[in-house]
Amino acid sequence: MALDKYTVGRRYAKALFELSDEHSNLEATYQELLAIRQIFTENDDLGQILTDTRLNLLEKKPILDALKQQFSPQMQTFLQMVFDYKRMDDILFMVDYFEKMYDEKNKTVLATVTTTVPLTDDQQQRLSDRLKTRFDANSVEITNVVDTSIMGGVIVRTEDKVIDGSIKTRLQKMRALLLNN
Amino acid sequence: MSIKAEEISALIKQQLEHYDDQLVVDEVGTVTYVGDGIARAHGLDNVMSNELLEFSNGSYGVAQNLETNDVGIIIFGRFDDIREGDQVKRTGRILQVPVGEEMIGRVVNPLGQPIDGLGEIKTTKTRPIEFKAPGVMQRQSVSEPLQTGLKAVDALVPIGRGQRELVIGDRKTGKTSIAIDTIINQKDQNMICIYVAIGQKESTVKNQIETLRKYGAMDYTIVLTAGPSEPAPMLYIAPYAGSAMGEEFMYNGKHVLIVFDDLSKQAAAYREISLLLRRPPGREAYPGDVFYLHSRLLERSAKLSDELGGGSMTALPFIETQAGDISAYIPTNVISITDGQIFLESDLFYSGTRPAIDAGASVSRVGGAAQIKAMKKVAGTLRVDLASYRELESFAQFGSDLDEATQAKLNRGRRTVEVLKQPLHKPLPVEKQVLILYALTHGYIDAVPVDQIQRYQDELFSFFDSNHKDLLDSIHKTGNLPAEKDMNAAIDSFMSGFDTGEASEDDTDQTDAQANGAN
Repeated sequence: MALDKYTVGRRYAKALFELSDEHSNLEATYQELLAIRQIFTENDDLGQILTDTRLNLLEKKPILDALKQQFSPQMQTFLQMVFDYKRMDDILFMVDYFEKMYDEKNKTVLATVTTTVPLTDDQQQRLSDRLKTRFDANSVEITNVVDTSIMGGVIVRTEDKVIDGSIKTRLQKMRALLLNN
Repeated sequence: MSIKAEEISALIKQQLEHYDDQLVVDEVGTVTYVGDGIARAHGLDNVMSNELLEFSNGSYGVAQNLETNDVGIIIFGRFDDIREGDQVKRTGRILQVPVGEEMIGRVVNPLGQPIDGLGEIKTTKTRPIEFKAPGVMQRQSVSEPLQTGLKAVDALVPIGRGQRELVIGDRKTGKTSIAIDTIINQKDQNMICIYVAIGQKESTVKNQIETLRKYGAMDYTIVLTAGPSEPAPMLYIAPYAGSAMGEEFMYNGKHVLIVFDDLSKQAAAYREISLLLRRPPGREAYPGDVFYLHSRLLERSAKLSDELGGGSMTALPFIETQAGDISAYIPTNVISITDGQIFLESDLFYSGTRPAIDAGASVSRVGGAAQIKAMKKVAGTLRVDLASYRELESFAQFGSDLDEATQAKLNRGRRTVEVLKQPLHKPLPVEKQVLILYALTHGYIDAVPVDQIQRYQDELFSFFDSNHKDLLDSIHKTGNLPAEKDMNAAIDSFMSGFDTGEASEDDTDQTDAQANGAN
């Protein structure tokens, strides 16, 4: 049975994470992975191209070399290995899972905050302080999304938890309650 | 009395001040696949097996498969407007259905929502649809009879309260009629009936409901239906939901009859779900736990111990066979789970023997314990007699000369088959069943021509109703057979007035027989 992308991402990321942890260069690896993510998101087809069997090795080699050259030796080996095993199109899942493990280790929580108006720096600071105690985290990184359809209030979404304090949801609940009785 | 407006507003002000927003933290996942009544969701790391989940379109689902990367969910309700990427929320609850007295007389779907257009059901209680069956110490052996009102069942394969009796046969052999007649006969028997229709045509179900209503049976019946147009998860949970409704009564010391019509369709629905959830298929493509699917369901029907109120739940599961093949996977499974089975045969059905019960292959493992004494006496050997008649019958077809004992046996057998025939929706009270079987086993019917037996029976009943009500009442009250001479005298007096319409011919036959005997 073919492995799905999440399983693949998890396996490679875990190996890389443990290796970096041993060499105690987690921070550096993480920064490099962020750069990789940027490259891959900027060039949409890159992962596809590097795994495509219609291109031969000679055609792919220059692309891979260009990709590798600026990275540390460890990252170069990693990229080479991922390329050899034809998993380049799953690399973003590896980065995602590495990030997750990295955040877990540092107790960092990524939170997407949806509001109707952009949060001011002060508000963000206070919110992140509150979330820190709530999720027992060392730091909270907030991504602010503006969405007027929620009408008001705040929705905080982390990995798999949602704190929904939006007017829209409360109206919906009220509606459900009224319909029931 | 003056209203102190300030006081009230002060009070409200105070309360408003303490009115906090109560924010709840929801755990969510993201839908990655949806279709055919099931969904897969990524995330939901802490979800429990069988937990109720809510989709963003308001539909509910139940977590079935917990895998490394995702969760397999079966959806109850609309799934055509769930999209990939939608959120699915944990609720922390398990699936429950409303239960209680308020459900009686209603037609509901497997979630307990009314579908009969009679408005909301104001229940106060709910029960989880999956519930552990009572254990050894919570049970007692089956002792009270459940009167189906069908002579062929009550005499040959008696059913006790708390028993599980399988009804099995091909399509169109009268399985549903047995259920409906049994439900009709529970009037004034202190029983609550639950008819669970799984994958039955809506028009058929409508007919059954109309029939029940016509005979006043809806006053003590709940109809739960999951039609063929519902997605498979609804069909899958229907019998469990029905059992939950029945359990509420059983644990309150009441008696319940639950009919699952039919479990082969539920098994097919479960197979569909399992294949879509990518569980490995086994024999006939059913998943490995299809036996457990039915055993855990039927085990919930029980006779409870007196400490628990002595309530009972009797189950009549149905299985539809294909061309009489009872060695297929699902029939063998359910046969081994239940306490006996009633076989219906299409050959018998089309030859006019209705209900088309195959006396040889039908058994009740609880049996005599669930019969009143009078019935035990008159029906004791009926099953064996009938079986030996079937055997003789095939021999007799060779047309050779038969000795008198064999002739008599064939004669009795033909009449037994005739007596056990019963028209649709005319259940008989037990005392009348005893009466006609008494007349049969004591040889009174031997002299009646076979085509006159139905008339004989009707007239016998009306004769007893008007002249010997005391005998019938004594059977009904004590459960014992009245003194033999009283019964014989009563039947004799009826026989003297019964005109077979071919008396003269019959007489010559008899004199011939006597003459032969003398020789």
